[in-house]
Amino acid sequence: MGFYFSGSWCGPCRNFTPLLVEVYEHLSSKGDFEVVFISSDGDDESFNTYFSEMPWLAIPFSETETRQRLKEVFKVRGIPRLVIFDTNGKVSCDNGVSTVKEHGVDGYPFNLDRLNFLKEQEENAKKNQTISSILVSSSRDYVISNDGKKVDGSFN
Amino acid sequence: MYFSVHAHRMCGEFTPKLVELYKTLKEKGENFEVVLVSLDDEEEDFKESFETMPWLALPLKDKSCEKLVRYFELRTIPNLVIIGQDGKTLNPNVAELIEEHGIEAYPFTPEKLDELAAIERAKLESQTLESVLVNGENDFVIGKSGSKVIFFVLC
Repeated sequence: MGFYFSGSWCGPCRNFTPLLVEVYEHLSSKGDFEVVFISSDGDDESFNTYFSEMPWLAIPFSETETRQRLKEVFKVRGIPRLVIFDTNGKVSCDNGVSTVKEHGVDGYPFNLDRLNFLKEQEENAKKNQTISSILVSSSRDYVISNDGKKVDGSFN
Repeated sequence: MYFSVHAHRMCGEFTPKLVELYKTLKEKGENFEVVLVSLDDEEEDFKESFETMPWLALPLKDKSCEKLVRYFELRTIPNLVIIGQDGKTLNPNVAELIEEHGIEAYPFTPEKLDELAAIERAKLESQTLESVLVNGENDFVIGKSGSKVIFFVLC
């Protein structure tokens, strides 16, 4: 479960939301991941528009006090902010935004064990670095040229 | 791997130098390729930059972009990481080297860098007041009144 503090007026938030949508759609199909949006929007209309892009849940906009309290509890000084909880309700990742940006769905369940595992994997990849290990990923095996063509990313 | 941001002044200055170097190397038939890792947010900025570049790129906002920034422990931009034929990192950033030495820095191997450093050292060692102050015919300095003091009088 993740608490997503965000607002439609905030550029970095608008950039991050689609990444989280992608991760969410991937994980929620397995029934493993839920997100609750806590809005920093100034009015009902911008809340509604922004929320309509999100496939998850939200604290109602009218619950101003709850939204404010959650911001205080999690010491939200800047947005976007994503706080992720384990199944026991303990915070497992306070910095969900950079974790999701960095690892996407690979970061799941976004706890320290997983991040350490990914880090170790990355250290190994560094030791065994190849052109492909740098350039391609599990979801993309090409790079692009500026006329829009796809070129083999392993340069074979 | 060329890490760059469209609106960044230093990147804007470096890109044409890299384009020139790239074209020269290609003309010589060298096996050199560049892949842009754009750190832009806007598609338009990315397109505008990439249009001026004769090389390849990762798709904008591909997850690898963010990952590679961390992987290569990027501190500054522009940053050009050199990867050798074997896939290993040869140099974490040659942007300054290219600014300073242009194509002379190619192929950016440790041997090449030693060679460049040796040339620099030799220059410094052979330096005399004359080599620093005299520039061709201009072998004088001037006084406040505009009088010329020929260099050798100084010595």
